[in-house]
Amino acid sequence: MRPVNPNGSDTILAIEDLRQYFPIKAGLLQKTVAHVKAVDGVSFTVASGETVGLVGESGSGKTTIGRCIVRLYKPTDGSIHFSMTDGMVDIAQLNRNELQPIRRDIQMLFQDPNSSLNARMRIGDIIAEPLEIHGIGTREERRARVNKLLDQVGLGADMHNRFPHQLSGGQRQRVGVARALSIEPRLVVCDEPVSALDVSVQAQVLNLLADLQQELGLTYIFIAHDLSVVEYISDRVMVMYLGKLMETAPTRKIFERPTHPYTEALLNSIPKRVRGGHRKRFVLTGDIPSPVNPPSGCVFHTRCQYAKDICKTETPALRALPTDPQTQVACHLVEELSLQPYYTADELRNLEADHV
Amino acid sequence: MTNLGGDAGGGRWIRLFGRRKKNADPAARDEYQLMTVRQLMTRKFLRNRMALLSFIALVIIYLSTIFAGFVAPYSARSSDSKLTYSPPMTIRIRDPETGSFHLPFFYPLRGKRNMETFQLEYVEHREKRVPIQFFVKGEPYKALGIIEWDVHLFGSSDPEERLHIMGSDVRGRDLFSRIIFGGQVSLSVGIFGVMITIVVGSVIGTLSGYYGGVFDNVVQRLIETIRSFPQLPLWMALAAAIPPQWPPEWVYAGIVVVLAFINWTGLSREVRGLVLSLKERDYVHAAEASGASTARIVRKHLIPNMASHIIVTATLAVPVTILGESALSFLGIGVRPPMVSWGLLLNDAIKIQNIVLYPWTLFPGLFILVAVIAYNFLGDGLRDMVDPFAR
Amino acid sequence: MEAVSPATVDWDEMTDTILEVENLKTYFFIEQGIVRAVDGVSFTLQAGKTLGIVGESGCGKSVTSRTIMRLLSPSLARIVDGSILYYPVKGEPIDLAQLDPFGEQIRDIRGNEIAMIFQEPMTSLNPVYSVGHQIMEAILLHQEVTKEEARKQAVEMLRLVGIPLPEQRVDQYPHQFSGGMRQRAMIAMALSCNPRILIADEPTTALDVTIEAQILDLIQQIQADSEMALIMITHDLNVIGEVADHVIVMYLGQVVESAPVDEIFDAPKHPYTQGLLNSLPMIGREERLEPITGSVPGPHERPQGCAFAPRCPHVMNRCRLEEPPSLIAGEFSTVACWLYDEQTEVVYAPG
Repeated sequence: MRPVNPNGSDTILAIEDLRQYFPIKAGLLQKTVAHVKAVDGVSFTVASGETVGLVGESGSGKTTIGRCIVRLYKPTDGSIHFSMTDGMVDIAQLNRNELQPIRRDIQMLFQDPNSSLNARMRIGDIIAEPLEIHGIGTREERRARVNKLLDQVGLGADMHNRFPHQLSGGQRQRVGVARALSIEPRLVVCDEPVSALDVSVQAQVLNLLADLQQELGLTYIFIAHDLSVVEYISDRVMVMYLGKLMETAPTRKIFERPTHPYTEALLNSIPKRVRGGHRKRFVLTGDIPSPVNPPSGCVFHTRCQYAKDICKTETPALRALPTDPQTQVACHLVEELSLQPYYTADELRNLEADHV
Repeated sequence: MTNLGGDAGGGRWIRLFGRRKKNADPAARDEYQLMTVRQLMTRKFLRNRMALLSFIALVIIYLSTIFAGFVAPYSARSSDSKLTYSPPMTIRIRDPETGSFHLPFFYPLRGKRNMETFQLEYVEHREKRVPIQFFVKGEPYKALGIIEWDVHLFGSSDPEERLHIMGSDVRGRDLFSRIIFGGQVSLSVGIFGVMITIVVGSVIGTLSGYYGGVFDNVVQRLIETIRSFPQLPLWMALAAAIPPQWPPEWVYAGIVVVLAFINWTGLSREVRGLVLSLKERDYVHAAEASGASTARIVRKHLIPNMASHIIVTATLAVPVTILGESALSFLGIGVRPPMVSWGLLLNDAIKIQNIVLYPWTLFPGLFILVAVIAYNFLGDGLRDMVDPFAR
Repeated sequence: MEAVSPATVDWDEMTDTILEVENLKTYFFIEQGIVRAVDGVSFTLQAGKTLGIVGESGCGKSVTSRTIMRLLSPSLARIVDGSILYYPVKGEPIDLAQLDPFGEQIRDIRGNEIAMIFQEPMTSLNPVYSVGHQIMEAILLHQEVTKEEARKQAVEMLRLVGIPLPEQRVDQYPHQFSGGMRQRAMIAMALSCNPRILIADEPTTALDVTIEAQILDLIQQIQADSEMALIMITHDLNVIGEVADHVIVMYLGQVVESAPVDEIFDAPKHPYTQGLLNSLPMIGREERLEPITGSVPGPHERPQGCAFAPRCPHVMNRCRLEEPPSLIAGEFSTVACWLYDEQTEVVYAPG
């Protein structure tokens, strides 16, 4: 049911060495005393039509990357190449006017449906806002488009004149989806779109997103902290830690064969039912360090159970595995480690059987 | 389980007194979900009875000052040397001697000097019953400043016998009429002062909240400096700087500006805080990500969400301004005669012996009190209304 | 099947019942009307075991826990019916529902014998006192020890919950702790008096997955060491699957299904439980999610008959008219659904 993403399909987004530092100001003169290195040298590409899951703990910089892509932030450094009709355009440093045509192609879906809809606006006006901003269509045409969108996201046309508080959480998130899709973007950055929703409603929205992707050929960057949601929706997963990319691999491989110790730790942390008592697992100790002063070398070495001396001094580069070019990992010790997957040995055997 | 009912959501009642009827239908559908934002806000406001009463009281006071010439039986300046410092006259409907009932009337007062204290003492002249008439012809005036008219809401039917329902002052001018005319100044100072406050406070607050940086820094330090002075002395200093040779209208404008000078700082801070929080809302991000201009974000997203807060703050700033004007005028550095204002009228009661001998000179204070309290209750009710979603 | 109260179904006969909630009803009396937040909840809790309470927002799971602790303001919420029998180590069982919520008796039990941890540790810790002070306060309130002794215990508790350098941390303030450490401190405070029951209300919802794992491990390890009974309240079925022995599933203030954890996951009976599991993205599962249609009705929109009827795929006429009682569904399980009544033909076989 996931859209097939054949290798070598068009690249829609290519990010190179992206950095986003936020200054910390102090004192009477508001002098910059330090920087929060929210995103610190991240590179990746996204193929057209795929869903990339971006996971990591809070403070890992995943939301910041999303906001850089929709250009809510102006990145400190690095490039964000987006595919337009006339080739790839670097949107990282464009100004407001230059961005205007690109904004039609990149939209964002927000986490909290309570704060993402203006309580004083009617649903119809909320959905039509992007159309209005870009001056698309006449009033009547916009209205017709909004009604079509309402239908597409599973809401009735009678929602048009309602206010957000008159809707349930799930309905509000559907309105958010309709707004994001109103100007027919090609890339949608979904920032934790289901984490504020109840389980049953969460599944409705996930299915809606998957259906719309099929229908409209959308590309998603799906930011989430819930790995099971990411596993469900994504073709590929990128694991972030402290502003850096730790590992990126096709979804199934991440769960069956993690190659970075942090990925292993994340997988081990997922609550899971194991028949007949509680499972043995190793748990990451301590907290994520401060992004103001990240550890030297590999940023994960302070919590890594396998860390060696080299990890403390040298920053590992993100490189493709020789055995599997689709998997990229930033770890000095890839070759020596054999990491524990999410699945137990039995489950793995069953999965293998299924795949064959 | 029969008495477990609760009020299912109000409906269309406006009940000022008495308990609300409980609706005993627990399965009643939640009306909240069905109402628009405006309906919710109206409902909230109507539920606050003190605010509603205050609102009605303020409407009455404002209407009477707007149509002061009609409401007041005399002009602010017409005097009667025979009735200086006359006490409030009693309005009667019953003849105290015969016990018979009549339409409202009063007995005129006759002054008589007490030869021991040399005070002028007034006694009712019981021989003459002067009826009180509604829509009586009297002194000509210009309604709303344009229409010439001479009909007053009420007054003495005999032009020779003046009616002072709240007494008169040192020159025999009717205090009630002067209070009504004084309200024009006192209450309008509140409104105009707050208008300036809203414009200056919102614009500066929005700019410093939205853009931040150096501008914000400078403005915040300026506000802190202004606010670090005690309010009244600062007002007095600024008011004293108004040139004495200015005509009264200019002085009035000057006082309005002086009063707004401190008030805008509070509003500007409030607006700045609101902008800081609102601009981080996801709907603002969504608009930005769609390429909305700053003007559009301010117009569509910030102002509608701030308007109600600003109105509340402004409502609560009106009584402060009214008190400020009264204080300045009372101290003799506010508006100057021939203008009248409540503070200026209260100036008659500045000496303790005047309060003892002519306690009715305190009536202007009562009006200040009512207006200020009403504004505070109104502001309270509006504050409830601002957040219609909090139930 | 025979209609019973779930409270009469023991889920493990080997251990002692420590808490028995029977037909508990907590209603909120607010301006807009009555909210039946908890509407006939029954369960038993046994020493050393974990009861999971699971449900979506508005199902009454948090109100249930606060009712047991008698933490709800009597001016707002009232226990309309039912009992909460607590079995102390010695003596007769105490009905917590009958106690004065501000009385001495409940204060003796609360924090001492039944402790609670909340979702938001920052709002539960007082920012103006040091963490150690707050733990000491809990100890001094319930135990007759000196201040030095209490402090020693506080340090010991912090060490127990895995806070590094507890001797220094004890004098720090909540804002100096990270989210995970605050939750640990909350647990330390809750455990300081060796409670017999710990109620954890969404203890990991605000935390990252790695920290969640730390906290869940900690709670389970403490439980294994101390025979403490645990009530784990959460919306996350994965957490329930990891920690619970027995699960009750709540919907609109009622228990729709009560069963051992394996039955809940492997053979769910109530259509709501089935719907929840079908809505849950589970790693390794390939098929499309099948969400429950619609959303949880608002507090004033409670449907007639079975509360789940409007969203239920197997709804029958009877469901819209009559509220189903709890039916015995297995040795240790009950289900409130007409599908399992003898008069009704079972149209859906779980599996």
